Amino acid sequence: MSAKSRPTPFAMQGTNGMMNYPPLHRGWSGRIWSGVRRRVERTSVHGKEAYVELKFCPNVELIHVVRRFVSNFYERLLADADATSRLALATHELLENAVKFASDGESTIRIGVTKERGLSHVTIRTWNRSSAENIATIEKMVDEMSAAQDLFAYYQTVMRKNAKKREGSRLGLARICAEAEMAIDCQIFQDEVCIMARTQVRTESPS
Amino acid sequence: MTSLELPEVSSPHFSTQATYDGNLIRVHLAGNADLHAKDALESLLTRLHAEIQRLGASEVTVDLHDLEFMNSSCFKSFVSWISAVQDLNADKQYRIRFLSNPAMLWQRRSLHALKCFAIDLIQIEQ
Repeated sequence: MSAKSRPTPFAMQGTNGMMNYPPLHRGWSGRIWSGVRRRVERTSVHGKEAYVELKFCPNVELIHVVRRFVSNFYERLLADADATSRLALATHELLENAVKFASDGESTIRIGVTKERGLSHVTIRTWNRSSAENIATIEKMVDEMSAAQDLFAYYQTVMRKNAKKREGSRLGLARICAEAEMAIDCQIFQDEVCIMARTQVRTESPS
Repeated sequence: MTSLELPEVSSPHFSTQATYDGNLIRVHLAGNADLHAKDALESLLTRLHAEIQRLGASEVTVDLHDLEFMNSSCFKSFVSWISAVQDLNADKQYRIRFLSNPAMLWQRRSLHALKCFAIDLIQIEQ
């Protein structure tokens, strides 16, 4: 499967077997994809990644359906209602952004959970093609969030700055940081943008 | 009694209902406030703001008990509304009381953000 291949309108790939997914930059130290393809191994084994990946053609109707579906996924893996709620919010915001700003109407979301030493590392990634203007806006916001000392204060600033603007909320990414308590990063490759949100959830008492 | 002139929103995934008993204005939201609900919610809040001023009310209750989710676009509609209340002269400003549902965990964080945005205007109850 390639990132450029045309997805079915609502294709879902679960945790069975191995698969390729769009190119990722190893280490996430920069914002340029390396073009390296990683393989994701079978899941549910301690230390391995459980994941779900969904491909979308523009269908806003399905976003809340996906939010409920992934809520069950989070609930099952994390057994933490608060974390499930935060992650569901982040998933909805990222997916809605990807669907809204996808220039060719296609977007992909991938949610991965890796359990290690009593912690679950959760990563939500979205991929879509977008206009140069949207990509510049995303990069600017991610840079601002990275530089912010206090993400809640930054969120309040963004709320105030956009309160009177008519077009777009521009609150989604800041909301993920402040309300869902996730770190955000992005990677750009030509007109493709990958946004990644990460957090850790304590799932077992440390031994 | 002057009546409240506010349209109701009724779609499969999002609905609103507003009541006014001559004293208290109460707006109930239910369902999913997402991209589909954004325009309707924005219009509703703009109209509600005008109606509250017309009726001279000092408080409005927004019941979110049955609101399953609110996306950032709809959240921003609330931010814009609250900002418009802040822009009024002090004697024209009114308080906004949110009734939240503790089972909807997102509400605690989102309403906290709204409360911090306008601490003197917002009250949160369960």
